[in-house]
Amino acid sequence: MQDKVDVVTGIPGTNHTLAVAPVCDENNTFFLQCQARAEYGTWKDPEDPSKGVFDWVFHTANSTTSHAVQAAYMVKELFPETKVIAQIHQDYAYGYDNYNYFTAAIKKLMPDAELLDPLYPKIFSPDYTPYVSELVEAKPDFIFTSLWGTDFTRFVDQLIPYKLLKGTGGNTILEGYWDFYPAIGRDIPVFGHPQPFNQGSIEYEEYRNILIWYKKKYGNLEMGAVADIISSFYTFKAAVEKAYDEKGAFPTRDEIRDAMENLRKVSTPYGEGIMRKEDHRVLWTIECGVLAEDTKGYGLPYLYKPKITLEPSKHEPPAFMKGTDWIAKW
Amino acid sequence: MIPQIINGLIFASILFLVATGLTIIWGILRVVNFAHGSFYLMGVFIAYSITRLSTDPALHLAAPFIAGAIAGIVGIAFERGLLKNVYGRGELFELLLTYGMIFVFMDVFRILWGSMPISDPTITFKLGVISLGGPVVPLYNIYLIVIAAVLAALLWFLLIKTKVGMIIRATSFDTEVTSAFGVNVNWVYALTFFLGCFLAGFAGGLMLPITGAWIGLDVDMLILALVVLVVGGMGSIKGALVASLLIGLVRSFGISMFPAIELAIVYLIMIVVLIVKPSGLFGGVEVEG
Repeated sequence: MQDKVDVVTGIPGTNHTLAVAPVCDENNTFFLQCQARAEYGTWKDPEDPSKGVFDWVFHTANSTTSHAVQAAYMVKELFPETKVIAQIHQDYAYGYDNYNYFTAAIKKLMPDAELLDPLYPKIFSPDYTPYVSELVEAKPDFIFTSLWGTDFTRFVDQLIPYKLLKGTGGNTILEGYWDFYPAIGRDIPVFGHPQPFNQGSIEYEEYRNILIWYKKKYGNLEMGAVADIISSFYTFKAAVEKAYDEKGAFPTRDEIRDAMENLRKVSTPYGEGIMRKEDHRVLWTIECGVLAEDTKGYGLPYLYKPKITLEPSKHEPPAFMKGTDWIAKW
Repeated sequence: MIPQIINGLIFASILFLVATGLTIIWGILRVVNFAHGSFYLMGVFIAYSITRLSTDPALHLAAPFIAGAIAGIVGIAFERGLLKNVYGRGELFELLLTYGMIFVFMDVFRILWGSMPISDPTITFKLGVISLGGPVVPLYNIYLIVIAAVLAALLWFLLIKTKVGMIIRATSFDTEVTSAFGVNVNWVYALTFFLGCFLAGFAGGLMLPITGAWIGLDVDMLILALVVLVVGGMGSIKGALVASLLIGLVRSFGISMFPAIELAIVYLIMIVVLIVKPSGLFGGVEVEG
């Protein structure tokens, strides 16, 4: 704030964004939440939606509810023969939210499916072998996990030798959720990230170029983080351009804010999005499905068929409604 | 049941190797080497660099030994170059130095290997799995347990049955008297540090295919090794063995039976031991088998 910045973005965790949001709002500074997943990130009071949203806070990413609901739809649509579902999530709020939303959605979409007790390894746990043993013994048809980052890497690396997963000698489908680079090239049907175009479409040239540059330099894929920040940046850019077009000159901050609230189209690696004015959230029509190794020749993973398309009303709660309340009304 | 026993033994094996290195160093030098976890992490990173050279399984199996040896040599350099300068100046100096080295090592690792976590499970995939009358277990996991057991036996043999071991044990009893008998105590210190750091680096190398490495793993491992030391008793290799087995198996079965409190149980064991027997299950002040 001392530097009088116009826009703050890039802060990942919900806990941090909840702390930053009021500060930005007080200073009339744009705050674009690009990674935090809580649907109440823009609310003035997370416990009381009637108080409305912060004027200067916008959310440009999908919510945890959206992810978990997409994941549930994928099981139903792409693997309808699934009977037994296991879950493994990190032992903190994000993991518990995923379990709650996914479980609620599956109970509505596939009432006959058996849901095993969830496994909750500690976040940043190095050794997943005891959890892997539990899964191997249970032999579920489907494993849904929200493990992210290196936890997902370690989990998959430690699970593969047991030949439980389809593609490694078993029949279990794994629905990965975040960074799936360990699975790339190993012919494992790890699901794509339940976000538009598998953490962003690699057909989006700038996005693709950054991924390739990053992979070349650091040897890793950072699809989620890159798609998140590009989407945030391009949402803001679209608002500036809209305000400029309307005024015919460079707009003021208030004019940009008004344009932001009324954005009818945002083109980003996530595809085409629209700003929901009521709660300042960009909503995307998403495509999700099974991850392919490299079908486009870019050296990057890509989503291939089978895949499903979900309109925002299918995967995002209405404004000012939390996920479990929304799913309970299905 | 069988898979969880094996999982517990894997964890116990690694804990034992790391904690034994720590306990040997403490037993001889009376220094709690807070940078010990860094040597573990060093082992994982070095093994990773080695396995990048080729997919040959022999190289992957040899990597932990090479990584351990390099960690041991760095350990000697650390002891001779830095730590010896604060001997006799109080525990606070040793604590600050070894604790400060954690951050120095972190930055060095970050420069050499970057901030991104690394992993290389190639050898696990190549060795495949074996069936143990029903449940399948990766062969590498069995190898890890066996090799750790062999190393433990060799360590016992070295300390109890050889002249070098006798000198090490004598030094742990009384440095001045041992020195009066013509033993070069500095040499014993350096050898001890090599041994301790070798064990940590070797354990790290062994875990590369399973857990990989990331900055921060060093501190995680240090804390667990300290728990083993407290439970088993400072300076006791036998205590380290029993405590490692106890903690490894309790954690493994805890995840299976009481997943919500598995980690709490581990620390609860430590608290109970601290209250009931503060010197640990096999507490002593000298290195003993």
